[in-house]
Amino acid sequence: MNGLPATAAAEAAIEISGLNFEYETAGQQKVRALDGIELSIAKGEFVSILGPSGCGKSTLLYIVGGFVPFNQGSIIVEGRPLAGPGPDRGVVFQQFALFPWKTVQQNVLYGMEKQRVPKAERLERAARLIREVGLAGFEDSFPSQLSGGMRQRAAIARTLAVDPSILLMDEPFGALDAQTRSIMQEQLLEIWRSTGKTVLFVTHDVREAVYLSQRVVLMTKRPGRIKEIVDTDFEKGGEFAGGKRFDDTVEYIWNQVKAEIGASHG
Amino acid sequence: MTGLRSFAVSLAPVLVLIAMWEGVARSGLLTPFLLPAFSVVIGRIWEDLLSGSLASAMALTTARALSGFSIAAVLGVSLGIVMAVSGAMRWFFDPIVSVGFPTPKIAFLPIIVLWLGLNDASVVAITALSPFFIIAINSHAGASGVDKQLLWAARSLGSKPGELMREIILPAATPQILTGLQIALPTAMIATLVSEMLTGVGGLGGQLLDAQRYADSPGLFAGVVEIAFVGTVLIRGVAFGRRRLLCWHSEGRAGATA
Repeated sequence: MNGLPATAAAEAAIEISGLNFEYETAGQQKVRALDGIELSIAKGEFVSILGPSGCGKSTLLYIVGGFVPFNQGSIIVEGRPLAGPGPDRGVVFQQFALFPWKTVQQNVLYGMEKQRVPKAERLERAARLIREVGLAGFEDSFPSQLSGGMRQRAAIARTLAVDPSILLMDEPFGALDAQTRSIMQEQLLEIWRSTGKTVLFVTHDVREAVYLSQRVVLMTKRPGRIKEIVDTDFEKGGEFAGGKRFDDTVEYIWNQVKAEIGASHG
Repeated sequence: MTGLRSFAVSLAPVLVLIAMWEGVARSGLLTPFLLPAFSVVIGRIWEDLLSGSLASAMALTTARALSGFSIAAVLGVSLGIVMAVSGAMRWFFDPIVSVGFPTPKIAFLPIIVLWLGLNDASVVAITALSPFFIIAINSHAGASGVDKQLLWAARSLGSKPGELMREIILPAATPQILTGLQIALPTAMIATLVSEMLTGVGGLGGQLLDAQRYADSPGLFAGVVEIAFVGTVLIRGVAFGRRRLLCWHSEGRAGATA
């Protein structure tokens, strides 16, 4: 099942090779969190990273985001070596990371101000995005006045406002209730299909990973290595009505994850 | 209306205390010299009000307290943030702040008077020194406790590292900076009053000192009531400012009190 799309090498959005990541604990001990990661993600592809907690999947995402310096290996983003964070890679955080002192509209405008988008266009684009994520009427609300789902919509609008070609999402729906989560998943798929953005999506939810993505990267327990890449690019009826192939894939991945969790306890 | 009612309810314990004071004073258990009746003290405050001496003393003390406090606020907040951002500044100032914070700053008053003389400058200087460390420590904690994902979010939206201070760290640390200022204000008031009493440069503290010299017991009690009034007004003022500044914060809308 470890097949890359044939054109991946030519049109890779993210090309990770030989990536190792170590950090030092308070007791000055070196801990290897990621080991020998090789992963190529094609432009426009939707890839999920799945693994037991503590396997380093979020760390991998934040390394690609440019926030966490890595020790060895190389990461090429759209043909250029990774150099710090940038608006080409939009990040959506599990805990939203909205600026609490700014209103929804001001949050969405922030990135466009940094990109020096002309004012009229800024306001127009912000209004459109806020409408599209279903927050019309809440432009002047502060994040503390919104529910979790609404906060995450605002955060997604803020990220989309700078039009990144790559979306890095760290368990973005992990803090939401089941209903809101399912609505948000549909919206994300719609955004992905209509914009053709590349999505790297970290989750610990097997059904979510299989439902949303074209490939699921399974990671081992620490030190995080890629255990297997599962092709999940087939027709799915829905997250809970996906059909036989969907259920078989979910079960297969579940067993792999369980084996990893079991191994970490043994 | 509900605001007015809750204000009246919160005033009730104070009224009970005043009634007890009046009752004990009139019962004859204590001589009027040891405990003048509240009504007598109010009469005294009224006289001071009419003569203009109360207004000038209050204005003097408030002006000294606020100028010293403002100096402490500007310097303390700046130092706290700089220490949060720069390792070198933290290395240099951390031990100084650790020693300065627990030291009773009023101990420096004789040295300050030696340098600056018996005047306003000394009072303002000790008023600035007293709350400085509390403000710096709280600002440092606020600025170094900023959620790193807020900084990451800003960076990924295109902020330069140099823009983070003003655009992210300062606003994110504002609640804790304001907490530091609120805790520090009474410290500044104490320093102003004690230094007024020790240096005899007038103001509410100076009045208190005079009342003590002339064995004027209604004057002593009137002074305490006046000081309590000024302190309460200033603290309420800072709490009001906090709510205005933190309208984005969930606490700001809940109507937290100081």
